[in-house]
Amino acid sequence: MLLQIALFSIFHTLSALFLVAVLYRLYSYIRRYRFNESKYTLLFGFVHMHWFVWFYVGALLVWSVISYIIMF
Amino acid sequence: MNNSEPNHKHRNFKGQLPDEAIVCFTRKHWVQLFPYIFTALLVCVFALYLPFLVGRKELEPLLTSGGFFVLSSIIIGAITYALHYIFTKIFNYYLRIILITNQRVIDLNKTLFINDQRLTIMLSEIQDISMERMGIMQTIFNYGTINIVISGVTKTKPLHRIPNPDYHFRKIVQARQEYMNRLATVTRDSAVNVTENIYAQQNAFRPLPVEAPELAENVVTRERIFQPITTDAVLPLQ
Repeated sequence: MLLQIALFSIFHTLSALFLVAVLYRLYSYIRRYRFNESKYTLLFGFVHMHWFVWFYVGALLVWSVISYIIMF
Repeated sequence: MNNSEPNHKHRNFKGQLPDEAIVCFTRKHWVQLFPYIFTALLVCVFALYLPFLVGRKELEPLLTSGGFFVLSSIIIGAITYALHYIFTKIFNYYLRIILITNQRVIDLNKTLFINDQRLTIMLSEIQDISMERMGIMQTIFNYGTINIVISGVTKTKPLHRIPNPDYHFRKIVQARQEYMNRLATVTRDSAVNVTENIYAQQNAFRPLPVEAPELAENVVTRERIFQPITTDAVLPLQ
């Protein structure tokens, strides 16, 4: 049980650290490169990058809950 | 703050020249992301189905306490990796930008962690541009390749999977034409300036005629050009 908790913690700590690193790099890029987005430059014509940021955070949170259910 | 430092507040991208303006920019077509989106959907479906799969009676003999622990750890690790991999690819898609400015075409191939490549093609170096949209997929989803032939080295730089290639092809041609017109105007103006300077210098250093000193008054000399205007020379207002 203790090993399971340790492994679960390590997985999701590494995952969260990677998430922070990605967001830091992404927003440092956004600060340096400023463009006026239009429907011709967005993904599928309407999907903003910020939406994916929220979706990324949400997906990892949901996955951590699902993985908790699986593991314990 | 030192006044001689350039003001970077109004720059749109790193490395932008002071008199450089963006005509338009684009990203690659979303078709490039198709494999990753498909994989993401598969991973999501599998992850959501996993709790039901693990609870099935048929798998119970396989899942002893140790085996279950190892299997669940592998699955959790793999899906966590897949999630990060897919989202990183999507963010990398947003960072890959092709810029058309009034001076050059820039291909910024930057990723979050590893790559940082920049390819710059000056508009004056472009010898020829061609656009191709071949196949059913490219016609339906409206994307294609723009080939830029660089003069001198006669090398072709293809820009693959450009969305709406007609529009971007026209923009590059238009930007190049305007750049060449501007360059021609600057060259003509500088040639006129050089001629005027040579003429002024020749007049400034023309020696005074010795044979006819009475004509010396009509010769324009440097001193006469820069002679200060005295109050006597100013005509009174009527």
